[in-house]
Order: sequence, then C-alpha cells, then structure tokens
Amino acid sequence: MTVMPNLDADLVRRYDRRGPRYTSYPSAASFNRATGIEQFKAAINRSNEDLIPSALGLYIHIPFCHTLCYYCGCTKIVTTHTEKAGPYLEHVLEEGTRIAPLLDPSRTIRELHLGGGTPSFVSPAALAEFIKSLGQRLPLDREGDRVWSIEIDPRSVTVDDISALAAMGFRRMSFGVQDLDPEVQAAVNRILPARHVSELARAARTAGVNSINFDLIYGLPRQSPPRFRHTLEQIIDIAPDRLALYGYAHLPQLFKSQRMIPEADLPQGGKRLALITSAIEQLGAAGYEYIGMDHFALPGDELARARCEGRLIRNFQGYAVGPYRDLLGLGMSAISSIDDVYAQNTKTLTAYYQAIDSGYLATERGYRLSRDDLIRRSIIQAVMCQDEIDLVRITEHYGIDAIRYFAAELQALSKLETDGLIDDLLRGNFRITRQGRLLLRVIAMVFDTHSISRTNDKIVSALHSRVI
Amino acid sequence: MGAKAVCKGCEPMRGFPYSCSLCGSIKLCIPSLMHPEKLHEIDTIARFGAVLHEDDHLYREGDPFSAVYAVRSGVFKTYTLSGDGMKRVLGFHLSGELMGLDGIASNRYFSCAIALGTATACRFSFDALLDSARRFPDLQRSLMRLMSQEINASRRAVLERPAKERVVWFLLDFSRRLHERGQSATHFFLPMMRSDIANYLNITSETVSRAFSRLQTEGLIGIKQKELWLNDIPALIHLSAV
Repeated sequence: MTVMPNLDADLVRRYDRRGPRYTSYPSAASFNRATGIEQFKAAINRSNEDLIPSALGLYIHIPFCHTLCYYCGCTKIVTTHTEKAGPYLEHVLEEGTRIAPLLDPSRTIRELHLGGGTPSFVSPAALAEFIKSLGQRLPLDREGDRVWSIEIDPRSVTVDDISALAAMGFRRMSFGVQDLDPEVQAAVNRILPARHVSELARAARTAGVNSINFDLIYGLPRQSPPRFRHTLEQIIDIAPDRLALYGYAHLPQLFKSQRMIPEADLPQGGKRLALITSAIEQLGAAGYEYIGMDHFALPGDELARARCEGRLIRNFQGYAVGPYRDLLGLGMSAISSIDDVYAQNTKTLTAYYQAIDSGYLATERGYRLSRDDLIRRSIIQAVMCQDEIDLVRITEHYGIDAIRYFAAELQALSKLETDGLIDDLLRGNFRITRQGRLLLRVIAMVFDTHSISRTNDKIVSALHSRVI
Repeated sequence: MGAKAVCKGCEPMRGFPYSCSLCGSIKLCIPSLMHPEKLHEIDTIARFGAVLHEDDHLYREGDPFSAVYAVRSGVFKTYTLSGDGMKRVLGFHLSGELMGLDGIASNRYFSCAIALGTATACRFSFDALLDSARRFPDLQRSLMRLMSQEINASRRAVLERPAKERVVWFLLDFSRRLHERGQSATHFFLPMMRSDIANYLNITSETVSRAFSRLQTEGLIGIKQKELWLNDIPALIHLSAV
C-alpha cells in the first residue's frame, strides 16, 4: 500500500519549472540526426546477443483523429477520411516485415500497444485484419503470454466495438476521457457524454478486459475545483483500475490548435493547484494508490502490485510492469528503444511513406546513450518508480564509486532534503517524501545532464511541460 | 620489423615507472615464478601497450611474428578467418594470459587478437624473452607453465560432449579464471557476444541460449542480459563432469 502524495503550495511555487516527463532518458529533445538506420540496426544486433535473447515490446502509432481536440500536443493527423487508414496500415506491415529478419529467431513480442492519434480511428474489422497480418510478419506471443493494450477515443467506438476489440485480444484498454463536464468539453472541442463512458467501461469488463485506464486532464479551460470534483465523482463510480491525471501544458507557440483556447479561460496559479490538490485527496479517499508522476491505480491492479514489489518501470506509455524491455516502434513518429539506442521514425506521413516505399526503414533521428547516460538513466528510472533510492546499489555493476561520481548531485539533493522533497539522505541513499512525490521530475532533473545544459535554451524548455 | 604495424604504440608509458612488480597480475603472468629481486630483468623487455578500445586489433592473422603478448587489463578474443571468410573463435584471454604463441612455428601470427571493450596488453619481444629464459630458469619454468595452459586440452575434450555440457564447462572455466584474478566466481558479466561463445564451443547461437534458458529454469544459474549468477557450482561441476 502506498501513501498518497501531499502537495505543499509553497514548494510547488518554488519548484514549478519546466522539465521532461522522463518517459525516456534523455528526452526526445536530445535526439540527433547522426543516429539513424544503421545505429538502429546495430542496436538490434547487440540486443540479440543477450545470453538469453529477451522478448520485446511493440508500439504501433496510429496518427489519425476524426476531430481536433484543442488541448492536444501529440503527433497526429486530423481527417474525416477513414479510408486513409488502409494504406497507412499497409506501410506499417511493410515496416514490420523489414524489421522481422533483424531479430534473433528465438525472440518474441510480448507486449503490443496501439497508440495515437486515435487507434480506434480504424474499424474493429480492419484492425482484426491488420493484427492477423502483423502476426504473420512478426513473432507475436501466443495468448496467455501476451499483453495487448489499446488507446481508445470513447467517442469513436460503440459497446459492440469494445467487445470486438476484447475478442481480438486487447485485454487492456485506455480511454481518453479528459473531463466529463459539458462546458469544459465544449471549450476543448471534445463532446463526450458521461453515460457513454460508463457503458463502454461496463462492456469492457463484461468482455473480460482486465485493466481499464482513464486519462484525465486538469488545468483545462473552464475547469473549476467544484466542477472537476463532480467529474471525479462520476469517474470513481465507474472505478477504472488505473487513472492518469495529466496537467494541461498550454504552449500555443508550439501547438497551433491550443490557440483556440483563450488564455483567460485557463485556471491559473492557485486554482490550478487547487484542482490537483483536491483531486489527489478525492482519489485517495476512493481507495486509489499513487503509482508515480501523474498515475494512480486501485490496489488490486497489477501496476499497484508491481510498485510494491519493486517491479515498476517507466517507459513511453507512462508506467508498466517490468522487466525493462527493448521496445520496437512502428509507424510515423514512433520511437524504438533498443539496447542503448533510441530511434525515432520520421514525423510526417509523406516522409514515412517515402522511406517505406523506397525499401528502407523510416528511422530519422535518435540517440545512442553513453555509459554516463546509462548510469543516469538507471537512477532516473528508480526515482520515477521507487520510494527509496540507493545510488550505490543501482550503479553497482558499472564499477563506479557512486558517492564520488555524484558528489555534485548529492549536494543538490541535500538542498532538496532541506526543502522536504526527500529525506534520510545518507551515503547515496535517500527516500522520496510525500511532498516529493508530485515533484519527481525535480528530483530526477538533479541527475539529468541533458536538460541542465539547456536551461537557457528557451525553445527546448518550452518543449517540456511544467512540473505541476 | 613489422611490430609498428601490428601494435598501436607498444612504447613504455612516458614518465610512468613501469615495472612488473607493480602489476596485479604478476602471479599469473610471464614472471610468475621469478624471484622478486630478478624482476628488473623482465622489466627491461616488457613493453606496456597503449589502451585499446572495443574492436581494436592487437595483431592480425598473417602479421610478421616478433613478440608475444600478455593481457594486462580487460579481455581479448583470438580468432582465425578461413579462406571463405568463416570466423573461428579460438579463445578469450584474461589478465596475465598469453597471446601470440601460435606465431612461433611459421614466424607469422596464425590468428587475430581483438579487444572486447577497453583493454591493454604488454608486449614481450620473443627473441629477448628466449634470451632471458636461457639465463633465468625461473622465467623458463613460468613460460612453460603458461604455454601448457594455452594448449588448453580441456577445451578439445569438451567439444566431444553434448551442447549443454559444453556451455556449463565454458561457464565454470570462465568463473575459475575470474576467481584466480580475485574476482567473484559466482557473479560476473560475460564480455563476449553470445555468437562468439557459440562459435568457440562449436554449437549454434540458438543452442547456447537454449542451454542458458534450461540452466536458468533449473535454478542453477541466473541471467540478466549479460550478467550471470552461478547459484550452484557443485551441481554445475557435476553436470559438466569434465
């Protein structure tokens, strides 16, 4: 059982700066064009050489959306032409066909995650066809071993669609709910009746879906603490196994659609803080446990159990149950994480089609981690996933003297200890406090050499959202 | 002489008071049986080589032979290439172990030596070494001992055995050699690729991973990527029975 985080208004004011979300380290802002297809292939070769080649995760990006939600900062294509999905999926299959022979023949794909955009933009029938073809090209694990999940825009599916997706093998569903208040929904161009959400969740349970996640956003236009409280009451009634409560990052200079949101409609400063503070209280009272960053789960959920048992990992999908795996990303803008390399596909549909049609992979940029990066990544993983951090133990097999290696970082940590984000700092060992929980990024940033070297770079800092 | 071509900078490090007496591997290396007072003799012929990085060659097959090498730090792999480009891995060499002896017969190296990660080796001119061995019987005995280890009879015997036993023998052999160097015999990293282990044991890469899987399922070993735990050495010895 984990303790709910506690928000100290004064601390938040002091530490509310922009920072990476650490779904990877370093973040995509550090990717470069020198790391391309060859580096990606070499990384697959290296990962094949494990003593027992390990299973992989597979992420497939489906970029299309029916309508534009004003708050969104994802890589997406808004279109009403559903026929666009066909050629796209063909290209993804072709990409998979090219990657398959690079994998050691004994490796299988354990996790499959469909994200977007809107994966449910594709009809269940077309999706079933796609998954079948995918299985002919890539070594998907068989039922029982595999873990398949899909992100769903509730507006784009019916109760029957949910049953069809579950029958296909998707036993984890993540619904983009955001807020159930009609006025907020209108302000972000995303109308979704609460009743429909609860019907879909019920259908998912009946169909044997064993983990339901709801994404919610605080800080949206027209949100107020009482109205958001009402949204959460309805959510708690439905009782999704997992909840993600993201803070809206208003960056209209980067994301054009956000210019549709009048600044005056946004809950500012104290009101924004009140939204998250009261939400955490409400979720805690309803029995939710804190996982990390913006994630919560009911005690019976695998994520909550994994956190208690120290098996939690952080990845591009937020949090997952370990072990940390190599991840293949297929589709436009998808990121692979293999061995010590991140590799991201080209970010426009035209360029993606061009790469695949010319017989290549679509890797456009990436990053190969140095030894120092790997050491720091393992620590940042621990900060994101555990309450107690032991620098010496985490870095043990790198053969460094952690106390000396991180002398400067330990000094920075002692300031965080004074401020109450961590405590019991002793010989590279420390504990994250309840106040520190929601400021995990601040603690992780101490070990981040990439973001620190860029604090003066306005564009890069704008790429990251605020801590709270 | 071709030494310059075969080894990057086999000069004594400038300003570094080089002596075998300062080296942690002395009890395993060329001067192992020499009297401490005679060590300065070997210092005059030992050359501490430059730091090599992953995939740097120390010498290549066919290079003129003039010296033997002793690993000072890190791990080296030796291998030969046949006419059709097929690679054969001959061995993995830890600190104090000798490389290059296969060049004696034909005056050319019979194999290539490559660093697996950061590694260093000391160079011993073969003529100078023979000359010293003539004058110091202790050195001669040390050399003989090392050369007989290099003949490595146990590997040839193990190549007759079933695949799983070969893998167990490989693990135990590596573990024993780490232990001799003051490292853990039960928890270590394997610095070589799985395909190199397979090649060395003359089995396929898939067979190696299957053997590792089975040993892990039986609880005899633990594996995390390239990290290994030997949980039950007596049982492993029983299995290998070589």
